[in-house]
Order: sequence, then C-alpha cells, then structure tokens
Amino acid sequence: MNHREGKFGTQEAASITTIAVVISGIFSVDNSSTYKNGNMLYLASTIALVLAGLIFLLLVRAMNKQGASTLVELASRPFGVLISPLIIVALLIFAVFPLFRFLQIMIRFIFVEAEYIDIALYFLIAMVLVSSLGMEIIARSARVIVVIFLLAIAIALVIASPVYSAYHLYPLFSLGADEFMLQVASSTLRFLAPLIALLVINRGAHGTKSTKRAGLIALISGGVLTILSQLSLGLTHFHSNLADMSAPFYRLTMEVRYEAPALRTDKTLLFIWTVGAMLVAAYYVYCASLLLVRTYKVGDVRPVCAIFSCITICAMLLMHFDSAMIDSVVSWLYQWGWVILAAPLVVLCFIGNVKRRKLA
Amino acid sequence: MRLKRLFAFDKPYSEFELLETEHGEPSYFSNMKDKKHSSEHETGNASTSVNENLERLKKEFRGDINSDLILRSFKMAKKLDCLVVFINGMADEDQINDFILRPAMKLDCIDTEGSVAEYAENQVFQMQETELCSDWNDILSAISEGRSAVFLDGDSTAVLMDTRGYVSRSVPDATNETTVLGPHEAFNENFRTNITLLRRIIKTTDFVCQIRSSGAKNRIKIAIAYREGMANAGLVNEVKRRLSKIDTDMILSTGTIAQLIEDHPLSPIPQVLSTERPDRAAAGIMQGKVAIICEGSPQVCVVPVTFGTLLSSAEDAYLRRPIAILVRIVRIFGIIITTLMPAYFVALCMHHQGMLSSEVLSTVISSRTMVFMPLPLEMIFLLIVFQLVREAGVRAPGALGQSVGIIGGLILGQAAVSANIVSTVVLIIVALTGLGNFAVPDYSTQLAIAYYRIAMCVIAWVGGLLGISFALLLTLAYLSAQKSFGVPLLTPYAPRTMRKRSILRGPVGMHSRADDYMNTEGSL
Repeated sequence: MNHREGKFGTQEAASITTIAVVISGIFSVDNSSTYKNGNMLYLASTIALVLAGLIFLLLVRAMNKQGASTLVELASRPFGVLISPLIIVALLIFAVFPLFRFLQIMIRFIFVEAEYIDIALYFLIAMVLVSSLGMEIIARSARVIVVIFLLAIAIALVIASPVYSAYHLYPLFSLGADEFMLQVASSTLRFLAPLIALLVINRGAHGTKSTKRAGLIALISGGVLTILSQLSLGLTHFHSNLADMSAPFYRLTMEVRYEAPALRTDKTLLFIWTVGAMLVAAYYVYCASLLLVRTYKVGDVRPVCAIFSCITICAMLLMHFDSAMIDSVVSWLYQWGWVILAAPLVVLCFIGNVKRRKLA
Repeated sequence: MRLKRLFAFDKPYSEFELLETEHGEPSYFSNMKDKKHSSEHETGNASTSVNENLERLKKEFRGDINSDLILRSFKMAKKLDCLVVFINGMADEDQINDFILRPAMKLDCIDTEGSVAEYAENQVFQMQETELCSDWNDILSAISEGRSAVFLDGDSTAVLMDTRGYVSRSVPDATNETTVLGPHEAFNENFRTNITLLRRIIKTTDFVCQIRSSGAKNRIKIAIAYREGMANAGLVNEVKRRLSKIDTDMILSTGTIAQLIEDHPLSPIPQVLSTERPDRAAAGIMQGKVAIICEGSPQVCVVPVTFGTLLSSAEDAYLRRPIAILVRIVRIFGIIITTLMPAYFVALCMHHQGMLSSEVLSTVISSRTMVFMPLPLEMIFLLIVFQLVREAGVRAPGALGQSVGIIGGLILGQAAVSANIVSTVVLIIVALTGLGNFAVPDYSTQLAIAYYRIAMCVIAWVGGLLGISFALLLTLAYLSAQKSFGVPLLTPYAPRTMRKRSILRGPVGMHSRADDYMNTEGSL
C-alpha cells in the first residue's frame, strides 16, 4: 500500500490546518448571497467558530471512545462505505471554491488577456505534483510558509486600516433569524472542513491527541484571523457594495492610495495567498484521495490524487461557464452545499458517541 | 530505475529513516574484515616457497613491464632465503635499508623452531608497525598502498611493515572555505594526515576511525570517523551499508563517494556536506554526525546534512553572536537576491508593469531603447555569460584567472552595453545576483542555485509572478521531500525540532549542543 501519508508533528498539522481555515473562511464565501441583505458574516463566523470546535471535539471524543484511528473506522464498515463518498465530495468542493475565487482574480485583475484554461493549467500542474508527493511534504511545506501567509493576511488588514469606518457595518442586525442560522451553518462547515481533513490524516499526525491539539490551535488562530478579516471587510464597504464585488478581500489594500511603492502590496500579497490556497487545495485533494483508497482498499494514492486534481480543476473551470444550470448548481452549493458534509458528520458523531465499543 | 519506481503502483517507496537507537549490528557487518571481492587476483594464501611467491608477484604486478615493482631477494642470517617487495616511490627506501635489510643481513643466527615470520617480526625487523599476514589479497593490497612485504622461505606468512614514504602536499590553507577568524588549515590528499588533523581537534576517547577498503578492484581506503556512543548506531550502520555496496573502480575522491551513497543522487542539492576544513568536520563529528575520509581526496564528507548546514559558514561559530546574526541575515538576503531577483524583475517587466513605479519604469525603458533582444532573453544571456566567466576564471591557469574575471566583468560588460546587446539595468541586476551567489558557503549549492535562477527566469517569462509563486511552491515541496541519511533536508524548520534557534545563531553553549534530530545516543 503506497499511501504516502508519512509522519508529521503537531506544528506541521496545525500549520496546514490554519492555512486551510483562513482560506476556506475568507475565499470560499459567495459574496452575492451572503451580503445581499446585510452583513452579519463576522457574527455568524464567531458563533460558527465555537460550534465547529464543539463538533470537532465530539468527533475526537468519538474516535477515542471507539478506538478508531481514522474517520472510516468510526462508523462500522457499511456506514463507512456509505459516508466516505459524501466526505470525499465535500472535501473536493472545498478545494474548488477558493481556487475558483483566485482564478477569477487572476483573470479579472492580473492576466486580463489570458484565457481561463491557461491559468487553470498552472493550478493543475502544481496540484497534481504537490498532492502526489504526500501528506508529509504538504505538512512540511505548510510549516515553512505559515508565518509568511498569516503575515500576508495581517498586513492587508493593517494597510487598509485608514479607511475603516464603523458606519459601514450598519444596519448591524439586518438579517432574519433563518438567514442568519443558514450563515452560521455554512460558516461552521467552512471552519469544519479543514478539521475533518485533519481527522482523515489522523494516523500521520500521531493519533487523536496530537490531532486534537493541532485542530484546536488551527481553529482558534485561523478562526480569529478569519473573523478579523470579515470584520475588516465590513468596516471598509457597505454590504451592498460587498455583494457586487467578486474579490473584496483582494481589493482591500487598494482602498488606500499610498504613494510609496513599497506599500503597493496588493499583487505580492495576492500571490502569497495563492500559494497558500494551492497548498490547501492539494491538502483537500490528498485527504479525499486517502479516504477513497482506505475505504475501497486501493493500493496507491498517487493516481487517485491525479484524478481528483483533474476533477477539481474541471469543476473550477465549469463554474466559469455562462450557463444558467451551472450557475444555479453553484449557487445551491454555496448556500446549501454544507448539507453534504453535515449529514455524515451528524451520523458519525451520533454513532461514535452512542455506540458501545466492540471489545476485541 | 527511478522512472520504473514512479510507475510501480502499490509499492511503497522505502527509504532509510533515522529513527531511535538500534541495538546490535546488522549481520552484514559481522566482522570488520573487508568483503572479499572476486577479481582477477588469485585468492588463497601465500606459498611457503619464496621463489613461488616471487613468480606470483611478477605475474600479479606485471613485473615484465612494471618497473616500479621492486623484488629484492636476500638472505637472512646468511642462510634463510627472503624476499622484500615494495613499490618504488610509494615506500621509503631508507626505512627498508636501515630497518629491514641491514638487521636481517647482519644477523648471525636465527631460531628456526616455531614460526620464522613471528621470530623475524619480534627479533629482527625494527619497524614500529608490523603485521603478519598470509592472505594473498591482503598482501597485494598492502604492497599497493606503500607498505613492504617480506616473504620468508618455509613460511606462508608474510611480514607486512608500514614503510610508506610517498611525497605529498603539506597541510595547506583552506582556499574554498576561507575565514578571517578561526583555523586556516585544510585537509590534503594524505589519508593519515587527514585523520591526524581530526584527532588534533577531537581528543575524546570515543572518537573512532574505522578504515575499510571500498570499490571493486581498486580497493581505495575509506575511513568512517564518528564518536562511538554518541553517533546514532543506526546512522553509522547505514553509512557502512551504503559504502559496502559501492562496486566501482572509479572512486577518486569524496565527490564520487557522495554521489554513490546519497539518498537522491539526481538531485541538484547535495545531501552530504563536503568540506575541506578539519574544524568543520570535527564540529559535525562532535555533534554525532559521521565523517567519511577518502584516500587521495582533500575533502571530507559529513553526514547527515540539513539545508541550514549547507547555508552556514564555518566562521559563524567564531564570530560574536550579534555580529554572527547580522552576517547570517545579510547572507540570507544575498541568497534571496541571487535566487529571485532576476526572475522577479523579468516578471514585473513582462507581465506586471503596474507594480513598478513610474521612475523605475522610465529608467528601464530608456536603458533598453536600442537593445534588440527581449528582456527575458537578455537576462538569461547575461546569467549564462556570468557562469561562463566564472568557469573560465576557475579553470584558467594561475594569474590568468584574475585577468579573465576582470576582462569578463568590466570590459565585456561595458562593451556589451555600448554595443546595445544588453542594457545597464539588467547588467546591474546580474552583477548583484552574482555577488549574492558567492554568499552561499557551499560550492555545490552555489552551482545548483546558479542554474536554478536561469530556470526561474524562463518560468517568469512564461507565467509572471504566478509562475514564480508556483515554481517556489514546487521547489519547497521538492526540498521538503529530500532527505539526507534519514534526516529531512529542511530540519529543523520542517519538521520542527526542539532546537530553539534556527535561522539566527544561538549562544555558544547552545550552539555546541547536539541537535535532537540526530537522535544521538549520548549528549555533549
């Protein structure tokens, strides 16, 4: 069995999960539906952070109780075979969303004359190679770039600070309860996806104790930075402007017209974020591949990584097609796609915590 | 082979991991004697007849055409036929005359009861290092390396004596790893001298030097130096295992050995530290690493190595801490400049002109007014010319080397600008890049970075900053995957270890502590 999981420490696991939490939290949001009626995303994310932590701890507790070293082992084999495809699809969706956002930014702001396929090929090559190398390499690479990445996010927030105004947040509680709960649910699953991926690679992270520690560190550090980023967006633009923007976070640093060239950091920061997003996409693709090879006893993870990478890039390209059907599917995924991940998680939490452990 | 492994699905890639201490020695090291190689040489023991041994030796060493081989027959105590064999120029003739021939010929009588060879060794020959040997291959190896063999009629055992006296360089100054503070000695081609240089620094009783022969027919001497009880036993065994697998005659230096024992021989980044400085090798041994000394090579390999070790200099340990930190920061800055600046400039000029300020943009445009080559091509051309000038400066003999550097750097550069082949801005960038290149202490890493930046220029030309960022990501992933004798190359950054200081130099006391990733058995 060539699964290329390897072994990596808590710092490496926390690094890749932190980057994934930030990328998923900031760049996987559908602006048009989220900010249509108001901006309460930062509040929803705050509640989501707590909920995601609780669900994660429940899952870890379930794995400890059942003595399971992987998510698939948590449910019994028939359930595991049924649940795994849902988790795989969910992980791939979370790989697609941020890549789609960055592809949009590249085409609209950087390589204006280029075609989508030209840029997508760069993403494909990087994703295939990085995901095929295995989790040890992904985790170590994340460990090296995590500080640079987090600094790149923080610098954007600091540079845009002169234009922050509290009145941009008004009206404060503009969403109805149902819409707010929907945002809480989708934000929870955005925070939870990296943690689910972390549980998939639990063995490589030296067991649930290290995984739990890494997950909580990532959730808190990445979650706080995500919430601050969402808050800074709210302080910079009215919700109606945010709903019309495709890449508000990228444009955050452009709101202040600095004379000094050193402070024209938008493109430099963008490419640092792109590297982080690519690493996270490779992480999700690898975790999905590992889940598939473990569930269905496939020998080698590398061909599966290549296939899933191609599927991810194709899905990313499909999202740009001018088709009503695709638009409605994408819109549904943004709004209700969290259900795909929520259903198996609920089942796993229930089964894992309630089921009596089989004695050997 | 590697392509086959790439497509060998379902088979995990097995590689050596430097894990916790292993107990015992694997069976392939059951004794310290060298593995017997099947070769053209006859095997077995020496003959009891001196004449038979004489004929055998003439045949083995091509005595009819090889005039270096000296076969001196003489009589011990005027009655026992003896034969001394040595190679002219390898052995010290004065020692042979004074301490072998003269005492043997002047002897009045000999005790023929018991072993004649033992008697001669104990009572006749006046040499400090002797050995009794009857194995034919060992006798031939001893003669080849400069020792003398004395055969005695009636005894199949020969007396081997250390009469090595070949001419070699004295201990030179370090030329490739120069420092201002600290020792200036360097290794030379003499095997014993190199071991002595290490022993002068490492005076602990646990410092061992295991000497073994390696290679197929050309059994060259290799010493494995480490601290017994400090170095991880698994690491030492792995080094020995890899050395024992070498099956080529062409071992001319540690550079060859390094390529034969590395985890990834096709990688441009070295996985062993090749150093000419005894203090640097000794520092590694003190921390639990293993040094490999090769006969005839003025460099020593130290394993395992990390990327941080490749980027650090011997002088870092001798400078005061604040100054050492500043020097390291400048060095890191130089490395970033040399690796990324040409590609970054190409990307900005070709794809992201908006990122350049109007002053810089106008300077670039005005300097390239009459230049016919596209900017990326101009950059790549100058980088290649720089490499050409560097190679010419190294290979040109003696004083010409300096002249080549001046001609290439000043005259060619100025002439190229005047002729509108290149622009001044690009020339300055390449010059800065070249300076940054020499900030990298390790020569192999310098060369790897020199050609890597040309590839980055091509990627920047095609993909702009997107291409650069993805190339850097793939490079980072590649470096993360590299290992040196079980230790990941990016240790202690990734995986993170207990070491407190990574990039900046720590206090001397902490600096000399053994790194935890070495999994040493002892502690400093």
